[in-house]
Formats: sequence, structure tokens, C-alpha cells
Amino acid sequence: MATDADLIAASVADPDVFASVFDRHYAAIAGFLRRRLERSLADELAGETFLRAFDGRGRYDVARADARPWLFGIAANLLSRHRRNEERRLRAFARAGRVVVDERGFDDVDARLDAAAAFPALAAALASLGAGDREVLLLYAWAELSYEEISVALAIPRGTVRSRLHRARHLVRKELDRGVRAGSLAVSGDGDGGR
Amino acid sequence: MSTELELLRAFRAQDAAVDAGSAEAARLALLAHIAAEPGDLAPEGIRARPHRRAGFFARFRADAIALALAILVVVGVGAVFLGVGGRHPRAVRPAITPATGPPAIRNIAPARVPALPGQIVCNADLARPGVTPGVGGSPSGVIEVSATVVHGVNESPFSVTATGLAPNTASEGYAVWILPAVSLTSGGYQLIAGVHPRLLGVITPGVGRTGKLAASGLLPSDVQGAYLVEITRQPRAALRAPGRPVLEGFAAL
Repeated sequence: MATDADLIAASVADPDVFASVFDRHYAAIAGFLRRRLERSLADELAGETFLRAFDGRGRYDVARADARPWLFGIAANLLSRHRRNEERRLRAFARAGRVVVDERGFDDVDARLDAAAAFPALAAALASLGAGDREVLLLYAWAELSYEEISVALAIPRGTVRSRLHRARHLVRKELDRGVRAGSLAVSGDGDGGR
Repeated sequence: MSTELELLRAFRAQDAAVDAGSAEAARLALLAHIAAEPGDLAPEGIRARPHRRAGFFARFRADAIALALAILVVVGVGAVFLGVGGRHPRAVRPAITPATGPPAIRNIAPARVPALPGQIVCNADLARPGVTPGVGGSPSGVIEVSATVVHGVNESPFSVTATGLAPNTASEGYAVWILPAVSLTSGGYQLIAGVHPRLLGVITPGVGRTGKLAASGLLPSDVQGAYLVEITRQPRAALRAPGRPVLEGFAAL
């Protein structure tokens, strides 16, 4: 199967090929943005991400087979103009109290209930993070990019990715611990290591 | 017990899947954007970049060229305006066909079109507008495209065959047009609004009493993707826009 880099390189001569890049990654980009912004704005930015990517395809580093870091980087850049929207949304989540939790990813009812109770605190913790730290954390946790890929996406050194991620996780954990003391949340552990 | 990362990932799972409607809308917007890109403009990254130290002079030169072009355009528009005897400028329509005249697609009917060289990449039925292609009826036709390499260059020969066509009159002929479209992820095609149709050629000689068309030609190198192929009947002297479609069908060329 052709890599993203193959498709992007081919699209320089044959622009229509770029539609395949869209088909591969639109859902991931739109989903990432929808978790962070109002739906209509998220969809608008997701579309804009691919228009910009198309316009900039000639500058794509074809040594990188996977285009996700590049696309998430464009999306993050577009999203950076809408931080207030994102933070307003997170605070609304934080005020919502308990939320209904999707069953996916939970082995048992207790874990689901823990998560349901933790979401408002989690949203408050995310809202309290600096924009750069939040971006790294969410690219890691939601977009599932590695340190190296986040470094490419945000054009920052890998060491900066590591330190921002460490700081963001520490702050989020602290906020959640505060939630434990205030309510009945159970939060522990350092989770998984760096990818 | 949950870590902050597990919670974040659970938070992610809250999202509804991206619906097909918004994805389709974004895809259409992208395809329209792609179709609107001028064919002769390479992306910025593969253009020759001016030397960094020449920045001011490069910008100055670009400005000078832009100014010169603007003057040429103004002079050209003025000349055209005067040339048409002061008609309203909107009456001056951009020529879609080249100044050398429309390309000809050679009709060899009633002989059959020889098999196209290379690998067949498209075989699409054409039918009267409003009739589902491939279900019979008259007239009907087929467009076929192949991919081949000639002297190291990719080429796309095509053939158009049809039966049941009305014979040409002296003043009217058949022409083949393509209109840019997009293939929908949900299946089918949709025309892209606002993009000029393109004349592939005029059927020469015209269709005779047999009502058969058997012609072949080469697709322009920049034609690739989804199109509505139209065989139209129209005055030979008016080839700026498609005439009355006789046969049509979507095809991935």
C-alpha cells in the first residue's frame, strides 16, 4: 500500500491524488478537533486543515511516511486561534458534574463510574493547563502521537515535548487528586511511559 | 483505579464518530479547491526559490513583473473592448478552446476502433441524459481509457463509441466535453459547480447515416479524476460551451 508520503509526492504532479490523504486521515483530524471545539467550528477547521495541507504539499518531507504528525500540526496551529473556545468548552464540562460515560475502554462498572465522576475534574485540569502543555498532552493521549511525532507536529525539540508532557501530566494528576480529596475519585499511578 | 491518561482516553471515547455528512462536505470542498488550482502553478515548495540575499530585489522584480502584467491586461482588455465595437464587456466571453481551433477526434465509423494500447483504466457507459447508463436504450455509448507509456511518457488514449446517433447536419456536429466531478464516498458522482467544462474535441468527420461513432484520441495529460463525459450536438461555429447533450455518463478518467 502506498504510504502517505507516496501519495503526497504523487499529488504534486497529480493533485487529485491528495483526496486519498483526506480519506485516510479526515476522521482522525475531525475527531481530535471535535473533542476540543464546538462541532461546527471543529468541522470547519478540519476541512481547513486539509486545504492548507494541500496547498503546502510541495513542502512535505517525503522521508516521513506517515502524514499524521504533519496534519495534526496544521490542525493544532489552526486550533491555536480558538483557545478561548476550547477553554470555555472545558469549563462547561467541568461545571457539568457527573457525565454519562461511554462503555468503550472500561472493563467494569466501577472503572466507568470512576471515570464519570472524574471527567469534570479532568476538564477543569485541562482548562487550567498552559496552551502548549495541553497541546502536547492531547496530541499524546488523544492523537496517540509519539514524542518524536509531536516534536514534528509542533516543530519543537523532543526534549521540550518530554518536559511539557511531564508537566502537563503532573498538573492534571494533581487536579484529579484534589478531586479525590473533594469527592470519591480514585486516581493513581504514573500510567504508561514515553512512546 | 485510573491514571490521568486512561481518563483522558476515556474522555476521548465520549465523542460521537464523525458523521458522513460533514466528511463529505469537507471532501467536496477539498476537491473543489484541488480543481481550482491552476494547472501550470506548481506548489510553492517545488518552485525555484530566490536566493535569500536577493530578497528585496526579488520582491522588487516580482512587483515590477506584476505591474507590467497588470498594464498588459488593462491594454488587452481595452483592445478587446474596442475591437467588439463598444459592446458591453460581459458580452466578451473567455474562449475555452485554443486559438488554433478545437481539437478533432477522428471518427472512423463504421469501422471499429482498434483495441487501446496499455491497460484499460476506465470503461464507462454513456446514455441519454436522465437515462441510467448501461441499461440499454438508444442512443448509447461507451468511453474507454487506457494507460500506457510511450517513449517514457505516460499517455492516456481514449476511445468513444456510440450507436443510434442522429446523422450530422451541415451546420451541426458532435463534440466531446468533460465536466469536472467528484466521486462521493457514499457512491456515485457529483458535478463540481463553477468549474468550466472542457472540450476534448469535435467528432470529425461527423456521424453518418449509420448513426455510429467510433473515435479515439489522447486525453490531455492533466485530465485525471472524475468527470461527467458529454457527447453534445451543437453548431460547429459555437464551441465555447457544451451544446445539447446527447449522451452522458460519469467516468473516472
